[in-house]
Amino acid sequence: MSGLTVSGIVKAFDGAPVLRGASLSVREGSFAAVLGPSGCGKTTLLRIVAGFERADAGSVSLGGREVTALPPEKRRVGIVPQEAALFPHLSVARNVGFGLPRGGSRAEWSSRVEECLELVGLAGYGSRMPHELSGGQQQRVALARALAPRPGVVLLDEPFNALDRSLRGVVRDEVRSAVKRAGATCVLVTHDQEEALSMADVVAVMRDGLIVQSDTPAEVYASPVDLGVATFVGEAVVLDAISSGGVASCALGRLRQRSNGVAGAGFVALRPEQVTLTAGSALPADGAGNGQAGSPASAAPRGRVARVEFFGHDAAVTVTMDDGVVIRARTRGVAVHQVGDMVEVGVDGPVLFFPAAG
Amino acid sequence: MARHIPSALLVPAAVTAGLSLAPVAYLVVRAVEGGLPAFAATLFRSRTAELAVRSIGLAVVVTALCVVLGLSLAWLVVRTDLPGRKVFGVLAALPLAVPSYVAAYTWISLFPEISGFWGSVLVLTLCCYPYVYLPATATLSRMDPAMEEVALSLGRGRAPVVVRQLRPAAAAGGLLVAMYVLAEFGAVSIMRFDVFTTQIYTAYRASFNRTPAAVLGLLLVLITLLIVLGEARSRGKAAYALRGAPARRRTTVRMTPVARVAATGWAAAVAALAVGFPLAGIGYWLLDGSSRGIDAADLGESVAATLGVSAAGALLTGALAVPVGIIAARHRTWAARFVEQSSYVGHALPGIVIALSLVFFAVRYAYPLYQQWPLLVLAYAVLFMPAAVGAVRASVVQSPPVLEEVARSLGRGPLGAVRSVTLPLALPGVAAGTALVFLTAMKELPATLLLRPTGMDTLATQLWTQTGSGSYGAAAPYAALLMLLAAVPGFLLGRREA
Repeated sequence: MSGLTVSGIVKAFDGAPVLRGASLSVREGSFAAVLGPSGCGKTTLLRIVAGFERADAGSVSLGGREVTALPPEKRRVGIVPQEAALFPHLSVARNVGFGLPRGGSRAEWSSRVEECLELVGLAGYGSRMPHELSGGQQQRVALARALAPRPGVVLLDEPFNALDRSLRGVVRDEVRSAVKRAGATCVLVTHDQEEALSMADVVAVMRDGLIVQSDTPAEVYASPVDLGVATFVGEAVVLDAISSGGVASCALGRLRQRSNGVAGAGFVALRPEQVTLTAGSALPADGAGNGQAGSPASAAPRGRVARVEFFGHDAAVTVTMDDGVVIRARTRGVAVHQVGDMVEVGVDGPVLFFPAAG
Repeated sequence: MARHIPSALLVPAAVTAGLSLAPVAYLVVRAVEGGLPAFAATLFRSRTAELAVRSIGLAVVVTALCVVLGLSLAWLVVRTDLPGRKVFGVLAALPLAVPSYVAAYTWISLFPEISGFWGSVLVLTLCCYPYVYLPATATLSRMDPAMEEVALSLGRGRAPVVVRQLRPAAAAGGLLVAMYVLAEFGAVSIMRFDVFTTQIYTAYRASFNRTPAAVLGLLLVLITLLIVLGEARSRGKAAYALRGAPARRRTTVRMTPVARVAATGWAAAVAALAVGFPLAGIGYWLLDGSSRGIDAADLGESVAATLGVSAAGALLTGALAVPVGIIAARHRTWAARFVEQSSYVGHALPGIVIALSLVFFAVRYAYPLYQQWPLLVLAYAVLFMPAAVGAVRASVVQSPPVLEEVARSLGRGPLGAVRSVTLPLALPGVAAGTALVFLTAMKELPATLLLRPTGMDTLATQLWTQTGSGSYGAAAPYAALLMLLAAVPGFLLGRREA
């Protein structure tokens, strides 16, 4: 597999460790997202891949070529910084053509520049100056500039942060499709899980200087390696639980686990969309698909609706259980529950169990 | 940013630092040559302490007044609806074209009673405040108004944000003023206020024993070094590089009618005293009639010599300042600090000391250069390096380091990135710095006096010769021409900033 391989990167600044052996591999032509909270070391990792910082230990290889000791200009790494960073003294065309070989034919140069501008949907913008463009257009020019020399990998450093929220989705789509059309290997660094899950083929979750899980977005969401990843990637309801024989006992009853883990005390994590709410008087339905394992009908956990947040496509309902535990559920469409209603709380599908640390 | 300084920058910067440090080395040699007892005898004379108090006192008062004048005028011109702000913008930069000794000569020739401390303060403040005004206008016009708007939205005034942003410009400008005052010779000697420089000159001329002059010069260098260290501390660790593209938007503060009248009066009064009065003084002496009979050929020769030598000095200074300024803006290693701060040393030394040290070197190591113009050009480079380095550094700081990183990732080497991105963006600053050096070199007096080739006269030396013999009328045409010549780039600078 060519593409990008980063292994065992260690880096400290003035004695403070930032990366503690981070490893990542990205297949050629795929779009990876490095997802982590701010301060987890993801930007440092990106700067080491680009060659702006030198790792204390570990190696970086690109397309099967070891580049760890090479300066940035010899790596063939394209970069799209946070705020585009277009060269303000050069036209859009000259920005895009900046990395193209000098001394080649003029026609070749222009056709590659025009090709790249077309790729990002800005054909004909070549003669503009950077300050005449909107934020989203500047980002796309920055991408075209990075793609123009056909780099081994393109690095996107939180490129949508500075953009207006309403614009962000559109620019994301345009960037993703441009990268895909160019067939480039791409690494996006972000703290926005929605961005990572929706854009990437592979999501690498980073925490405290390590990549803790690297998988498809669906797999990272469905099978997080630990409680930290479960709560960071997507929303999760976390409850104290005791596990035995693949069943976890908690405030919501006895729930079937996704996999048999170590028995004992720990936590159960379930996604808000797994939580089902039924009006208080209704009898709990027994049968297939219900996650509650063999619970007697009379013992269905009940709670009172404390808050309803309506988002249009769905609603979030916060329920305070009789024993004081607070549960957040997602319901589709129009909310049928009102604040103060008594509801019975059920769980749909198997849940995640994580043994208590230590 | 990279900790490693590319050697293609470091080597020329180190040469520049060496050039600046050589005069200090000469001073040390000269000061201790006569033996330690002689050295101590000069150092601990009560007269020395008195000179230190007078010199430092003058520098402190003038610097404080220049910061007030420079910042207030810059803010009025760039940020408010001051009537005629374009004109005031040009006028406020013009005092750079007024040689301090010419100003001193016009004041004392018309009001003899102001000689001494306050006369020196008046003349030097009016001549030096553009050193604060120019960097302040540059900073203000590139400042992102969003920051002020954030402060206003948080219920705070604009002032704290503006002051905070202006601090680097005010500190750099104030540093130049303080060093200018400490090195000033012409104006204080005309105002008959005895400080280090005048005493050094007297000591040099008075006897063959050069030790006292060298000791006093060394002390002056030490005082200036303290100022440099203080400025570096005030700049601190804050990174002033703007992220992203510089702001293109402007905001204008609307003043109340009363404030407008007061502000207009203030700007007009400064212009009248700093530019109007010396012009009027020269006009008076021109009309007086005692200036008739000037040789036109002499005048033409002096103009050509002044332009040639100053332009060569400015180009050399600008070229040497580029690597130093880039290193100072981008690197924080000890080597970077050493290179930057040693380049400031040249300005701390009075021109007369630089000149004598170069004479000494030329006589010993490069006799063919002795009393030739390249030596004078070199002296200008050493003397005016701080202004050029400051301008280069300030403009490099304004272009975000991420641009260089992008250029690197697109295949440019460390130097290629500097050449294709940082330099073009810094070019206005480099040009402004070079113009500033050109202006200053045309007015230079003491080093020119000592190093000019035999028979060559610049306008400044002509003026000095005539003033020395008390023929104010005969000096007036040279003074007028000097101000006319220096006003051209000053006018362009002022227009660019406004």
